Amino acid sequence: MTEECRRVLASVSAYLDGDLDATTCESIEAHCGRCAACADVVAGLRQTVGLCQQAGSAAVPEAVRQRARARVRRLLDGASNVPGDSTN
Amino acid sequence: MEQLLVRAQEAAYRFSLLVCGHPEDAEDVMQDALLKTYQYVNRIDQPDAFRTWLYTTVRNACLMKRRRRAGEPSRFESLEHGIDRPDGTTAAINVADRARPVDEQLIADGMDKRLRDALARLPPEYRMIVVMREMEGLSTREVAAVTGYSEVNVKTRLHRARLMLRRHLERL
Repeated sequence: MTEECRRVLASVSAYLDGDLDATTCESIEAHCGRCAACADVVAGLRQTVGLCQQAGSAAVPEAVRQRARARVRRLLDGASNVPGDSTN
Repeated sequence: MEQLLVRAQEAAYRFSLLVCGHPEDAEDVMQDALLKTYQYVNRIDQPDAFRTWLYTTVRNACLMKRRRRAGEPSRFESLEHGIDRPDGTTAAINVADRARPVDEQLIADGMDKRLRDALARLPPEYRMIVVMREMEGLSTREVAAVTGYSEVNVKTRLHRARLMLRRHLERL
């Protein structure tokens, strides 16, 4: 692993998150064009981030959502049924 | 308001399962998020501030659950006691639903098992950052506000967490 590899690997997340300027991005891409190991790390991290984001956008199971809705209805119904009454 | 209260519980559900890893706590944490959000709802004027508040609340509820499990004293308030309404009055409202715990099948339905296993192998503080940043879509600044870390620290931990996660995923 070269010093350039170390610099690239330390910057992969910033690169994937779009935190780097265009010149730095180009130098990382150029390095990955020459270095298969770093290219693998970049591709692997991109895939990992994508997998996490995909999982995050997955819907909550319907049964859980239904329980959440039922709980909200009980809360709102209970609150509206006892206006100003703290002894319910 | 109903939609907001449902969303708050969904966020609590995901956080509880993915960060704390105790399915049996999820219903209690959801309930806690619901009641606290209901009390807080009138003070919401900025969506970003609300998200930070919500995840801080859920994180604290999860931590409290963990401490309670470890036998330490708990300040977790009983949800069956009266709660403050947004208008300042108090009502005793029981929204408990303890008869139907979250089961493993429901969890498995929501996410790739390999990713869940890999996440579970991360140190808790790293796992929390991955979940909030990658899955819940919080910004670095929001994660920093919830965790108390600096933004630089959040970025550093996220980078390390991604590398660990990638290694775990390759091995599973």
